[in-house]
Amino acid sequence: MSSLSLPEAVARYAPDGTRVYLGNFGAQLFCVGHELIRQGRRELDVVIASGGLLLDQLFGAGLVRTATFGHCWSPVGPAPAWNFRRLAQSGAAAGRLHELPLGWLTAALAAGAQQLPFMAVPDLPGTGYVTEDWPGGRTQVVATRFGSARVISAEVPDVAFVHADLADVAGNATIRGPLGETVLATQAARATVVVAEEVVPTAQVLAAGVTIPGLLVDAVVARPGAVRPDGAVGRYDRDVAAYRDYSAASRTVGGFQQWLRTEVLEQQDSR
Amino acid sequence: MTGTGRFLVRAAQEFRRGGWVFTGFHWPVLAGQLAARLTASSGAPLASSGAPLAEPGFVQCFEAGAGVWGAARLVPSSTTDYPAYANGLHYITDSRDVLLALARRFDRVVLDAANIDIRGQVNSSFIGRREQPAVRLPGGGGSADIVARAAEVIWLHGGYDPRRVQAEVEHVTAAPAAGALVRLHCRWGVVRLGARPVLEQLAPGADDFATHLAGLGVDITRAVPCPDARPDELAAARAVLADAAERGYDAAVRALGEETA
Repeated sequence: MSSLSLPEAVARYAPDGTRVYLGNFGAQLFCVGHELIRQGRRELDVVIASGGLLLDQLFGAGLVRTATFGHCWSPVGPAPAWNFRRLAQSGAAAGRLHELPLGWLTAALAAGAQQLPFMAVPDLPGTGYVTEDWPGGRTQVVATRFGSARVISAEVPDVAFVHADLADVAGNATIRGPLGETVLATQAARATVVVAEEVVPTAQVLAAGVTIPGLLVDAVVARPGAVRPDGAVGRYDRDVAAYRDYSAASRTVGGFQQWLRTEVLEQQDSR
Repeated sequence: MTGTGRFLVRAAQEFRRGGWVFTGFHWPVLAGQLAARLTASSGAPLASSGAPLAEPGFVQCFEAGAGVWGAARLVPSSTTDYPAYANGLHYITDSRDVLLALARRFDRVVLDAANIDIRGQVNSSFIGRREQPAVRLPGGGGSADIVARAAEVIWLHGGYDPRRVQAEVEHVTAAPAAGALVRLHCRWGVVRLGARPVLEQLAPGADDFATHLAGLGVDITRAVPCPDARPDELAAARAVLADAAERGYDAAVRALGEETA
């Protein structure tokens, strides 16, 4: 178990070519994404259930080799995720976007957590996930003597970065909002980094309730405001104006590049 | 109040019917908030947080793994804006529970539909070829999982172009089960979708919509006028839209603009 700064954690656990899960659902770890960008990471295979603007920013910064995701847009507005849209519409993303229904993605993580090759999922007849293979070769129907079922292949990230409200130095962590697929991701990943709003004595985590046990955690990063401009339950609200500003800026490539310079590249994070 | 407010009041009624309601992005969030406020204003006592002390009559569930009782502290900017919901956030679980284990148990599923067909199928993935789409849409999230197993699906379409209701969507992101009850609420009325689609209610002045549906093969002969909303319901809808405009909803800004135009 290590207590690391954010730059140290990103450098150690997410080198070029890593398969990176980024949490959480509705409380996205923008600080981790921005540190990946500042460190010039390339060829990442990114797993983000609710892609949102974090995935859009990684696309725009050119870090993403493949993306496994459920959807990608700005939930505020709502508005398109412009980099995602431009990339897809240019044809440059062909074969790189693996779109899964969120239920299937949770099942894939559950398979990874249990070291199984696949997990059975409810079928989705008539949808493009089945008829057009939007997940990119990750699903098929298997027949057993108990009956047939559609299955999804296991998802095993090299590292999962997850957000917590509280953590102790042993890695025990408390999440206060809905869990999405976050806990499954920590169980499936080869390594887990908890990015906590606050690192506190163990007694305080125990009193709040342990959502992620320390045995799943490899490193803890203390990072107040980790998910801004998203909100953190009980701490700060979503910054709607920042979302809208980003959507306006990223409508053009030039606008996004300017945003990237001022809001990410010139914002060094040494914590 | 314009057609948007009346549409919102009709949509809110789907929550006020009670039960556990899976709630999707955008219009369902606003309809859920309106329903919660109307329930609270009907006499249920309020806690200091603003949430009704008594059972509000319905629970909203979200794909990230949450159940919420009562009106939110702020109009949530989306279903993923959990700090806004926190005062009513009393059931916390994960997406696997909601989308796979609980999907068939919800009383109804209320979701937004930008591109929908008369069978009840929705496209939220892309227009054109997959390799290089003409328009890349956001993707379905958990909609396919939840819709495929729902007994009752309510689609909300808040747009202004009847052509978004189509004979058949180009790509299918979410498709209801064959036996499901599926309805579309829009500013022009209410349509029962499926193998034998029927226009059930028609809003005043929406004859063009009825003509459009007839062209798609929808039975429009049984339509009755949409019941009008009460003044207090319209006032509450306007308040929700005003708050929603502050919380980033482009559609709310447009709706309020219609009113002042």
